[in-house]
Amino acid sequence: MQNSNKYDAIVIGAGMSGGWSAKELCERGLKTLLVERGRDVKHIKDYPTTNLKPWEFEYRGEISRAEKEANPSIARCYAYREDNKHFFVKDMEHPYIQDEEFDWIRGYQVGGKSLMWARQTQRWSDFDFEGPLRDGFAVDWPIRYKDLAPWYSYVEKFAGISGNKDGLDTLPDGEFLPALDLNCVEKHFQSSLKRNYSDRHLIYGRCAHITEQREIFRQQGRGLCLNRTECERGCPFGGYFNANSTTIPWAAKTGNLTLRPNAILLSIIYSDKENKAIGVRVIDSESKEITEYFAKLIFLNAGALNTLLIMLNSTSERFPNGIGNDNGALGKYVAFHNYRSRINAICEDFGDRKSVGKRPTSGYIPRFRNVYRQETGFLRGYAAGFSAARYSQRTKDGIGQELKEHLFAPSELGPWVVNSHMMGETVPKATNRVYLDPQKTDEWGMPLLHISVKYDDNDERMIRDFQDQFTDMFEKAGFVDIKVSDDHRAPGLDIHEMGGARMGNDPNTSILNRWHQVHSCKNIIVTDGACMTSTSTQNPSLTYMAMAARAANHAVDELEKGAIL
Amino acid sequence: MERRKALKGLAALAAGLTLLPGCRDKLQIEVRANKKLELNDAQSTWIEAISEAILPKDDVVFTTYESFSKYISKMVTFRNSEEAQVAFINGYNSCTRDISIIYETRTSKIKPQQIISYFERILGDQEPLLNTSPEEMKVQKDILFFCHQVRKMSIEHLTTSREYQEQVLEYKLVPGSYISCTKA
Ligand SMILES: Cc1cc2nc3c(=O)[nH]c(=O)nc-3n(C[C@H](O)[C@H](O)[C@H](O)COP(=O)(O)OP(=O)(O)OC[C@H]3O[C@@H](n4cnc5c(N)ncnc54)[C@H](O)[C@@H]3O)c2cc1C
Ligand code: SF4
Repeated sequence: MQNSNKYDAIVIGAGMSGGWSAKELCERGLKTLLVERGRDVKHIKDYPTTNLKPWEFEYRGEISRAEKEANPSIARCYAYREDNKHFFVKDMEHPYIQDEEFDWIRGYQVGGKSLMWARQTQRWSDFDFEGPLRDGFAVDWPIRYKDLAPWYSYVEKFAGISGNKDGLDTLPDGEFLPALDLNCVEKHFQSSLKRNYSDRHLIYGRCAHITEQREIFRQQGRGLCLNRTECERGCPFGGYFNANSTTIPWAAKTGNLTLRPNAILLSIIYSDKENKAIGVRVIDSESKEITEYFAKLIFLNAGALNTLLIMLNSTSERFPNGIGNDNGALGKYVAFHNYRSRINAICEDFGDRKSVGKRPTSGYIPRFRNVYRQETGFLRGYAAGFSAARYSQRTKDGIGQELKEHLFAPSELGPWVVNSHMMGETVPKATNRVYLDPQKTDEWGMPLLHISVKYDDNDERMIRDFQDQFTDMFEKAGFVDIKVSDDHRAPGLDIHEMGGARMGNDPNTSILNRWHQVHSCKNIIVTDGACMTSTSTQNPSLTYMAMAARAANHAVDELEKGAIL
Repeated sequence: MERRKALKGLAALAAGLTLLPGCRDKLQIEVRANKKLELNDAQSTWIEAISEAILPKDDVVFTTYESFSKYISKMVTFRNSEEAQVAFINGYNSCTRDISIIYETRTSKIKPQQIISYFERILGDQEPLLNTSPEEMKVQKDILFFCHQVRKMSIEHLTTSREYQEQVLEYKLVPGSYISCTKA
């Protein structure tokens, strides 16, 4: 064992959740190695397009047809554009096997997907944590809202989350910076919901943007969000939260962090003699040299499915089917969010009003179906985004002088267009799973991951309910020309893949305990989406961050007490 | 009847052109896909003339912008399928010849108004010619595709330019505060 390869803790994956693990461990004084398979991306310096204007892009923001054909999954992601394509993993460079169609959207670099995320951040409530127990699916969550609430607050204050205190039991309030306003049509819809329903609310979407300067953000070197809405390129002001601007530099400031980019974690080393994980095996992505690193604590934050890949690939005499996989549940009960359906319409009122400028988020309608009781023919429910906007229009008719005059004529404002998209909970099932290919490997020797995940009848019924309920809600608000659609997208494009190493009280049916420790190997801690017992409807990253902070602090407490060793 | 004759001729020429790239005149583009269009001076000048007729930019000052022929030469390959790239080039070749035949003059002598009339006819003409052979139909389809594309790209070339974005669309990288509701 080489001394230079010894740390107190190793964190695998320098993205949204790994940044938090590293920050907490370093702040608690642990010498921490942060292993990241992708390149380093330094805040601001490595955002090459951040200040480019639309006309400065060679292809005006488009992706070439050839590139789309070669990478069909990322090409379907709304955020994949010329200005930020360098942050997305190309399908072809990192293959996986789709037993069922699955668009796996990944970001392999320091910062992970926190660079490109849409920054929507909602807390879970006990309606979410109690869901599996009440509705009889999956296993009971071993934690409740009260366990996570202080950690939500802790994370929100550091990351900077804007929002209103809405006082809803389905979506607990947090430590918010001021929210931006809803526009007049959104407010109109908000009051229409209030008038017509007791359980449906439109709120301003809570999001990870700094709308008011605070001392903590100054210390982080981050400034106010100036509403550019070019966040997915990386923000030069640090206006939105990502790991690159916030958690990783904070961890580095402690002097306890060693960041090791271009290092792919192959497997965790388990010692049968010591009955615990003792380190990790890493391959350099360029030189392909294999190195072993050793530590007392190992945190898995590689992004749900990659964490499962690593765990399944970590075999030993004690764990022949993957580390912690005594019950065969590892890789199973994967779930995601159902984003298939949208609805849009026209609002003919408010023709004398408009909004000016941009804002980085929009409205949010928390889940209202099956919350207090089972009231539909499907399990669980959906949340929805909502926004209204007016667009400037110019006719492009004619040829010659006539066309030119049209293009230079003052624009006219079109009608208010309103739209909503569903964010449905899917119910985890053993048949929705990932597993390793017994033969095929990638160029670094990692087995290829099979993804076998699909929708079921419950999802289909939920889509129809979303369409019916929102049509009703839109009609009550007086919207016209209502159109519903189902784009039949494959799972994955929601970019909220979860589960596969679920938490639970019973080691016979779950992989992780209430502190995110592997039941049968307590010094491995999983705090990315792989730990999720169920998915509820909220965008999940805020929950991963709070879980990562909670679990890291608990692990250090245990280490200090000598309980983990 | 005259139109049919012209199309027949164009269909024959189009076939010959695909087979014998060496035998083309300097305005004709060799038909090949998945390579950036390399336009010679004559082709660039002619394409600029078409675009300028469709969307005159004579009094618009472009300070930082690439020419239309440069724009088109990269975008055609960049965004289109192989089939569409070939259709575009075939459409251009046939359109170039068609215009020359119709106005009985070299393209360098064709006036903007004549290009406009030609485009108006092609883009406005919904009725397919009766009794046309598959080859003639194809020529018509390719010309129509070219005319649509070149018009669309002329508009894009203008509307994505710095001048248009800043002066007409009032683009600002940092747009300032968001005002949720104000008088329209
Ligand atoms: C366009 C887009 C919009 C989104 N919008 C939202 C939103 O509004 N709200 C929300 O909550 N979520 C959103 N998400 C999802 C969000 O980004 C993820 O939930 C979050 O990043 C997950 O955090 P993570 O740490 O698990 O994974 P990541 O942030 O992806 O980080 C995982 C890291 O692990 C590294 N890694 C993987 N395998 C290995 C290995 N073998 N060895 C070493 N390193 C490895 C990866 O390179 C990566 O850097 C969005 C995502 C995208 C792409
Ligand atoms: S919207 Fe805010 S966070 Fe996003 S790029 Fe603009 S200033 Fe930065």
